[in-house]
Amino acid sequence: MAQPFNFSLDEKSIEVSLIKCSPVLEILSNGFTFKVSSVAQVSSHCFTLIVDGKKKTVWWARDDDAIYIRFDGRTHTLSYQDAISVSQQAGVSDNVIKADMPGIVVKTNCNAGDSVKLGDVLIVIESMKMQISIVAPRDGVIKEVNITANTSFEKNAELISLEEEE
Amino acid sequence: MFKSILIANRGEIACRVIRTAKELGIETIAVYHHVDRMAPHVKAADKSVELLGDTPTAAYLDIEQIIKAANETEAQCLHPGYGFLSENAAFAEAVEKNNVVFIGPQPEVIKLMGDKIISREFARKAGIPIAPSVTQTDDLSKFLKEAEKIGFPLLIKASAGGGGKGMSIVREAGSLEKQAKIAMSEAERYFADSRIYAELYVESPRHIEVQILGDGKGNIVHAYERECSIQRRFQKVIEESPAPALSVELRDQICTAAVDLASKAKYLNAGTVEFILSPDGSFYFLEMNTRLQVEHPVTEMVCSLDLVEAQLHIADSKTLPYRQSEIKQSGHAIECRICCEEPHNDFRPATGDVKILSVPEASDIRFDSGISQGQTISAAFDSMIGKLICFGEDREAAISNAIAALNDLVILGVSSNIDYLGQILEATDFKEMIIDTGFLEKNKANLLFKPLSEKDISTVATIAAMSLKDFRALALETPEPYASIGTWRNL
Repeated sequence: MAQPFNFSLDEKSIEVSLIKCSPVLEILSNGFTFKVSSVAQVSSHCFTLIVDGKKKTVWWARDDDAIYIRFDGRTHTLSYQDAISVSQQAGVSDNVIKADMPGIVVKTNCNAGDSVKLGDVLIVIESMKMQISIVAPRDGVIKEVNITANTSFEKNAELISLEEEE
Repeated sequence: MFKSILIANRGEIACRVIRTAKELGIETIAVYHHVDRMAPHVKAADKSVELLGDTPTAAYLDIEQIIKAANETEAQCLHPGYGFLSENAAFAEAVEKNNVVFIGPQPEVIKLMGDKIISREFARKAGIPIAPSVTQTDDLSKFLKEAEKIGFPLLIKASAGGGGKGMSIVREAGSLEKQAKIAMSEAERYFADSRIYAELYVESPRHIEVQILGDGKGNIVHAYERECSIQRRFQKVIEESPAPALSVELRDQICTAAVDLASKAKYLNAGTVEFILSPDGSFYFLEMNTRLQVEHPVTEMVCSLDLVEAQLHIADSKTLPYRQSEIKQSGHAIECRICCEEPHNDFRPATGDVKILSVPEASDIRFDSGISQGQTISAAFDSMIGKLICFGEDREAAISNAIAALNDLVILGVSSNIDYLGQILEATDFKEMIIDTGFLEKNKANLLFKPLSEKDISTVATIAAMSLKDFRALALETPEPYASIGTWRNL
């Protein structure tokens, strides 16, 4: 199975991966499997497809990490971390998680001394009106949490640090 | 007819006026602040003049600069749109003084109707029903005593008011003094005029208004009524015509009252007389708006007329373009105001870039807007960026047309109330015509989308993944540069 694609929507992190390509696409998303077929492009930002037997007309737009999706009369805003930036984040591993852009802390899920696993949501921030989950780049122990809920931070602020790897 | 027109406004209403002026072969002149230099109204106009201002709003409110622009471009007439300077008597006066025809009523009529206390007194003398009320004089305690006599609930309003500012409902004597003082200070802050008045508050009121046209000599025709009861914080959200569940007799009485008032005022050009309708069938004069309304297109649709053309005709010839018997109402029209805001976040105004804009097109759908794809929506102006107006043979057909059109209206990149508007039209109470100005508050719980289920979130993410080039490349094995428009891969 290929590497999953990582999204977040309504504070929730979601992994989407491709399981099968034929006879129809099978996609595993957040633990649910979807059958997808008849994907057809209508215009540069519109396509149709059949998901589990239901036809959808989808409009989409991207703005850096934000993905806007509209179908069934409802618009959704997701954030997307492409594989490269995820691996970069993991690759940083200099024990400090910094802010890519200014924002506000929505909630914190960890305290100094907590043991965390790779991918655990440490804090949720809101930036550019998007809620983004910041996940642990590796297994480890939290050294410091430098922010509290409902406070703002600037770009490159050091949000959380991890203890040195043993 | 005029050879040139300056539109002293921006956004959708400037585009709207330009459209008709162009159809009539009139040269159009736009004014704009720097932030709007790429805006559709500037592009649509034949000429444009930049206005300077500390803030964008200040530029559009700068009487001197706008008059100068009109003079320099030799504009023969000026359309003020709505908002900004449209109901500013001093502006209308200055325009006329410079030999430019103001598309609107006489300055003294703007002044008369702009003052709520004076206009109510005028309406009372004209024999138009007004709600029992008391006006504040210097003696606050006397005012409070008189107000108490009317009974509760009471509505306190600023005399110079509008837009819900300085307005509050008082339900008991105990809080009257406090609320009156708050209203006075709000009135002072917003309108530099602390005068207030209190009137009987009609419970579960409907807001019905009548479109009128006048020739300035007392001849008035009306183009029937609009229902504007779907409001949030005294701001209209959805309007329709004709008003649902209104008897022919009552409608005629309301339209006649509007005509009487406008006739007594020797009203010139297009205007709207607003009424409050009580569930018991009594109605009261609310105010008169001396300009084209945001919601004028619903009237245009059901009466098959162009109100901007009518305005230009009247301003040019000082005669009415139609006889009353020529104005017929047929079918049903609904307007949804499209605003950049976050309904799930207490309607906080939203800003951002319009990444994708796709508008449904059909002969029975009209989208009046001042936005284009790629445009930045800033916090500098009102959050209303356009209006979707849909027609149907009857109300049910108009509602389904509007629901489908809202589904097809795509604005991505900045939050909007499109989905919320769809929820209103889907609401049982709306369909069953159980509407009054408290509708949105009463139906609050039904109008916002429920949080997504786990399964729904998964579906959204699946579809989001399919929008990604990298994911598609994996799934459809189509190298993206070679994927032709029209199909990626039809499995």
